[in-house]
Amino acid sequence: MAAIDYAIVALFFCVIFASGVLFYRWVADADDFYVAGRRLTPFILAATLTATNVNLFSFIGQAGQAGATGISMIWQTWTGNMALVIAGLFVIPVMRRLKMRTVPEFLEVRYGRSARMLVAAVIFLRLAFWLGVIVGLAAIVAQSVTGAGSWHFWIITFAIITIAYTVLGGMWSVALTDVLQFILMMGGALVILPLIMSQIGWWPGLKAGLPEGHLALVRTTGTYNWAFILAISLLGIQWASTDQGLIQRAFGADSTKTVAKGMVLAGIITTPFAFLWILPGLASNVFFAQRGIEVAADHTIPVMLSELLAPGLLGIVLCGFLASQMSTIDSNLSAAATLFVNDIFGRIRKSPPSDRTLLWVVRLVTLVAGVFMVGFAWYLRRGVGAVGSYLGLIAMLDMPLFVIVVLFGFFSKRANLPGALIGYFSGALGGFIAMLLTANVAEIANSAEAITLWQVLVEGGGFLRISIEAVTTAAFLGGNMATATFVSGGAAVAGVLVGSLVGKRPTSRELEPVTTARQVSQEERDTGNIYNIWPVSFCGKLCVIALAVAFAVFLLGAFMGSFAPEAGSIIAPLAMLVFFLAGLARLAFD
Amino acid sequence: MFDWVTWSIWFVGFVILVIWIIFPLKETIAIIKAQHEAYKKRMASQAASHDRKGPADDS
Repeated sequence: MAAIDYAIVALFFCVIFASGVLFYRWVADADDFYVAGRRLTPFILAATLTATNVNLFSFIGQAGQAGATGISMIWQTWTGNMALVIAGLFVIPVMRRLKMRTVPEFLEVRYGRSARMLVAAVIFLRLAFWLGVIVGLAAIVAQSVTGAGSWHFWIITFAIITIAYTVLGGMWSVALTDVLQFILMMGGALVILPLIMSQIGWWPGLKAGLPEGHLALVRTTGTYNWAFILAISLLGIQWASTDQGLIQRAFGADSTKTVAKGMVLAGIITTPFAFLWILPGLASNVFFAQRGIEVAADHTIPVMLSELLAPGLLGIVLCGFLASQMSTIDSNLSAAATLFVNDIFGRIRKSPPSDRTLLWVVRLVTLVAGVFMVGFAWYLRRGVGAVGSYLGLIAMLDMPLFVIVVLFGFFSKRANLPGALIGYFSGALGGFIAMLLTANVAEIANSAEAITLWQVLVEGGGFLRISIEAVTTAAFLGGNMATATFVSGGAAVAGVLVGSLVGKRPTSRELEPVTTARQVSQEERDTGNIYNIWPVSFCGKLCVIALAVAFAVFLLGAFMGSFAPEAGSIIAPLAMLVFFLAGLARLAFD
Repeated sequence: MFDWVTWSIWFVGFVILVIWIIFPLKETIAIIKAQHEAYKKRMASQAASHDRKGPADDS
């Protein structure tokens, strides 16, 4: 990397850090720090949601996986985008009306205080783990592209800068730097695409050079097959409805209507944008095959960039990449701190802390979450890749959260506190066991071929050779995500149903806050900025019906991958397009 | 031969980028101005309340 590239990256770091110092002055109370004073407008909200959603996990992790396994990896982004539309139109507006800052806050409103504290503690650790994944990826990229500094050096650099500006400016820093980071990220992606495609003979070269089936959107076999699409669709809805890093921004919206607009816009915009990292990922397969070089999935894009980009341009693209990562790190740091202070610290204290005390505590906890982030990054370095670790984690921990918050929290009058707790923890345990049993333990079991723990147990022998630590690592990194998703979801549903029979039926008074939040709020009537979750106009209702039908057809298209992948590859993306059009029209008509 | 697939994707990305430079930046600048004004007012009212208390209260 040339001196000019270093200068560009240094300038970028300075601007981001300076923004933290500038926004520090704006933070007058805890709401300013947590949710930017609830003053975010639709486009800022969409930009910050997209910047959080798109990061090096997309540019490096997903792109690398696409190169190794094919274009079907793109469904992780596309189903997430569809989920943003669903959550933005129907779920998050309800939570926004309850004036919440975190997801566990909803659990207290719906079930009780202990549900809030216990789940908050688990989500805090899960966020710190995810932070470890993304900061680790940022270090891989910086080290591969620059060729300078050790992996540890880059981890510490990222940690110091992101922690500093998040601690200082809170959500104001996070949201407004996201706008700049989004522009840099897109600019970088637009530079990369034609550059890489020109190296492999453009689209015809890509088609000719890829292994068979790599361009099939819906596949019968492989890791990212039709079952993956169905599982990730479920997880997508869960993510968009309950991910603290994401919905904390949505809670920062200036009105319920802005929440819906911002989330639908963010979902639609990222859909064509996904090609900007999936195509370079596919091209990397051809690029390295032509040169006879083997590169690990997470390293393909950084290595290719360092070879192809001219001085100056490399610095700009690297800034785009780092921007994408920092916007995700800052939001999750802020989310972890908010969660801890709001749902654990605030609940333990007998008297409510002053705003000044809260601000200092939340800043301190941001720092602690940063330390956890670095610790997990070191732990994950032993693993097999960012994608595997993240998917495993969300399959185990996030699916049960969705079950108790949205599925039963919104739609069941019978679900109660014991049901929520038993459902959440039985879902997490079920997901963990499924990951464990489907993990590839070939290396640990001294097997030449891929073998799951389940096979080892059934076939007998070899079990004693597998240590607890090795199995735990394998469960996090190598299990079957689709199986774990269905098992954790199913176990959570069963847990809530059984657990709810133990306790009392919730009274209508206990259910009242959630029931009321489904209706137009007084604030919306006063400001005239009304948002109806179920539309009033005929056209609006028609759009919601079209949305539901398109989603059902999409699921059918994905399922067709099990017996007619060619037809599924046409039906699923077409249904997705209709779905997005219906979502956009829903906003326009009502 | 011109690669329609790649350049079409590139063009859609470019349009999104342009939209994203115009609208969110406009909203960001408006928010920064409003927040800066609010900050100045808050500082002024804090200074006024400090003056009303008088120097003896500082100890």
